[in-house]
Amino acid sequence: MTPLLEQFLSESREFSQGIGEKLMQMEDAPSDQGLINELFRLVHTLKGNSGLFTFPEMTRVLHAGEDLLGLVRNGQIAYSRELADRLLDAMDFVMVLCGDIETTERIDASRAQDSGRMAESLRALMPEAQTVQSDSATNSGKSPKATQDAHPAELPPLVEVPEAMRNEALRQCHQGETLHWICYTPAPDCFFQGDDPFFSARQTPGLLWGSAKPTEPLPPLAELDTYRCLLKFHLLTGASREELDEHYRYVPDQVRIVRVDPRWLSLSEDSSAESTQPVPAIPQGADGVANLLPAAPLQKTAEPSNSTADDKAAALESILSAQQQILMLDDRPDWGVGRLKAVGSVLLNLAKAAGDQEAASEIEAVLAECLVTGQSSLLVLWLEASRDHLIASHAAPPGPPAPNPSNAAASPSKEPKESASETDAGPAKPATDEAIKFGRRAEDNATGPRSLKVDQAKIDRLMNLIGELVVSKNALPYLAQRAEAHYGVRELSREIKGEYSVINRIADEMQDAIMQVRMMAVSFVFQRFPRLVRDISRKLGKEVQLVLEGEQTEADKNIIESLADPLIHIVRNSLDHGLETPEVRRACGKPEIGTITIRAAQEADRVVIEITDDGKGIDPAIIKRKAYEKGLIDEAALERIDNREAVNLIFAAGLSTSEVVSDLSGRGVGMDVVRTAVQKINGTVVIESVLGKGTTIRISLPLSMAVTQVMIVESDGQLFGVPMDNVVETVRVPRSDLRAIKQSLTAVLRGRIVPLKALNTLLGISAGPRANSDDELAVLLVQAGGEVLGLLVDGFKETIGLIQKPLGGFLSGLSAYSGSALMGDGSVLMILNIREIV
Amino acid sequence: MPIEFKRSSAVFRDVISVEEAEGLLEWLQRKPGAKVDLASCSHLHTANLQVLMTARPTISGWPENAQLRAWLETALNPGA
Repeated sequence: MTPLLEQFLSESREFSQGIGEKLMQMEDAPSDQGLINELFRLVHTLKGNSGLFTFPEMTRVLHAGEDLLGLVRNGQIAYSRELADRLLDAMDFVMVLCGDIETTERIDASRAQDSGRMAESLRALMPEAQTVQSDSATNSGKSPKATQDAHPAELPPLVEVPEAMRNEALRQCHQGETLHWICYTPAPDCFFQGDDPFFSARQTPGLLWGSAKPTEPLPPLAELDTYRCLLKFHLLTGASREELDEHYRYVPDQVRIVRVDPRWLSLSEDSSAESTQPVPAIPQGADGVANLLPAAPLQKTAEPSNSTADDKAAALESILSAQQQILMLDDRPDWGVGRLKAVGSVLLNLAKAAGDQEAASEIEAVLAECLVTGQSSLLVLWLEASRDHLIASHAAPPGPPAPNPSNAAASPSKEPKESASETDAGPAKPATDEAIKFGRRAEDNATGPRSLKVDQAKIDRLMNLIGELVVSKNALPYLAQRAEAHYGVRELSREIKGEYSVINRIADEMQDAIMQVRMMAVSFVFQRFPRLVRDISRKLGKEVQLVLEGEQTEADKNIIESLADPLIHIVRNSLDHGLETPEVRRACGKPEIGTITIRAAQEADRVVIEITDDGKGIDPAIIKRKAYEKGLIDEAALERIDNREAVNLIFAAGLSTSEVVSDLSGRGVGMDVVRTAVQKINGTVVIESVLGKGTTIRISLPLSMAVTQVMIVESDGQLFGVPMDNVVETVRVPRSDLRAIKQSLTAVLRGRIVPLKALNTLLGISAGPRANSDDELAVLLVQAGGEVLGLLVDGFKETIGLIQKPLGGFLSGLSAYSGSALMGDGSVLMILNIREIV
Repeated sequence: MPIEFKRSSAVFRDVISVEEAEGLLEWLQRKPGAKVDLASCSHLHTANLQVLMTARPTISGWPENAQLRAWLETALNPGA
């Protein structure tokens, strides 16, 4: 999960909660303009945020909420209980979505329907005129009632589908596949939103057949508006509902997806053949039949609940007479068998629906006989005879419910819900009370926020405590030693050591865990650079490309935060002094666009940040001269220092290389501030520059400021700490291998000549280094300022993690030590500042 | 240019974007009875489709892409 998304989630939760609270307050003060403004602002921000991601489901609901609150704010509609209820529901829905995103990082397409319903229920509160203009989508503006009324007319015109395809579809249905009929009516202005409905339609998963139709009669060519979408698409697909919802998740209000009942396919098989190819010879009644067939049973599905017994009887009458008429047709003898089958199945279903098993078996028998003879007369006769019986059996209370759900449509159903949900699965489902109530989770399942906002002081306290724990844990090995040496209890000593290793492990993990809490990615600082670089380069008329690398590198919060200012200084300097204008660059044969790379990486327990530009570099001669002019270096130094050192002089206070002081840089404080800031957090900064090629500034920072790993060495009976950052390796060198070059001692280690210095000498202790029994000297190889050097000590001890305390008072003047620390046995360990003493 | 306009016919190639629709419409308005060759067209934006559906030019070549061809045949030849 990206940090942006994480932030979005935690903010969304906060906002939803805030919105909830404001709504509650509104109940007490419904006309408080301040409250409503605040509420509007919250919803608006939340909507805007959700738009950054691909969460159309969330945006849609919030957009509706925003529109609604906008009207309330303008006084066009009054605040009401109901309004608050629906908004609260919407907020609960948003919370549910947040939960989804948190677990799966996406919103399941199945939420689209809920979202549409939610938005519709909000829009239902708006005056009609507003809904149309406030929402570009075609359907969602309609009041639920309108869609409901319009519904029966919107049955899938399967007649359009060519017969071959229809047979194929029917075959698939019989194999247990579920087919869907989609009516996709794009919004007229959809081209402006970058939509290509034809493309979406073509890409529909499982597409079997599709056609494009004008939504209204097409205008004459001369008046056609190219940018208004006049088409709608009818599609037949074998994909599942979920796939389709996913495919059309951005336009759920523009599609109507209906599950295809196999019966529609088989029924229209008869009718379509007649209606799509109208043969003049067909008697008047046949057209009527064609229309009646799909319509009659379907009308019943739409309004079964209010059809009275009389209506039912009338409908049955019409169905039965239609069947009779079909059987009488003799225009196309080759269709006879198909018609027989169709009529047979209609009658069979009618009988089954009435629970009349006797009639059903009769029909089957008669039908079989008819099929053998190819004559319809037997069925006609049966129909004549049993007509009244069938109608009567339907009028009686229905028998056991039909086992086959497809019969529900033909039955005088007492379960309107079942049949309704079968045909009307589209998103335009009327917003009934149950529908809006969904998702109100406030009381049952409170999904609490997963992140805590904690005051930094509390974390710092934890940090200090763990620091003390680390120190006091270090007392245990001493205790073990004492147990053995002083009291002579070896067993106890071993047990203490055993316990120590357990405590040590837990303390380490604990320390690590607390560090993790404080860790932040450098992207926190990096994210402001693209804008900064863009603005400054515009101002300077330079073309700059910014490359950021290693943004996920993490370090302690304090470190990251204190990094921000130095980095800004450096980047500004690079832009102002480093990079040339496009003309100059072209003249030098460089690409016109300059590049600044900011790279972060973790190296052992340090974070290294490199800022590289490919500009003109720094001329050491100019720096030297300037430094001399400003009195920063004397004449002797002017001669002595090499180019590398000279370049690093730019970190000295009061030096500016630029001739002109601009509002960006050139006041000679920048790089000095950088160095001070970096050193304050125990970091180092070095600069490397090649004239004409570019400059690299490398900042190295500790990952965390809390615990320092030090190696303890012994010299002249005293213990000293050396930061592990400085330690390269520990070796023992036979005294015979030491060579004296002039005054200084050297040794050849790993094929390299390493200068050696005795720690005692460096610290002003008169004693010489002590060798062990094999006449070998302990050499601690340390790294200082890029050079490797050997320190002669008397012996090596363990490495420990400790909390370094800076030297206070007049001791702070001792540059040989970077600090002190309390050891487990209560003694004080002095930490050497290697860089200073060598 | 994805649409190549010749004297009396327009040849569609690859994907025809929404920007082409305006030009196509003007061209078809100027040239009643023009022919359109869709043979090497792989997709055309809805806007172009509705221009073709309104103008009903003679189609001199149907798309090689079978799926697109089926779509266009139903859309442009509703009678067949």
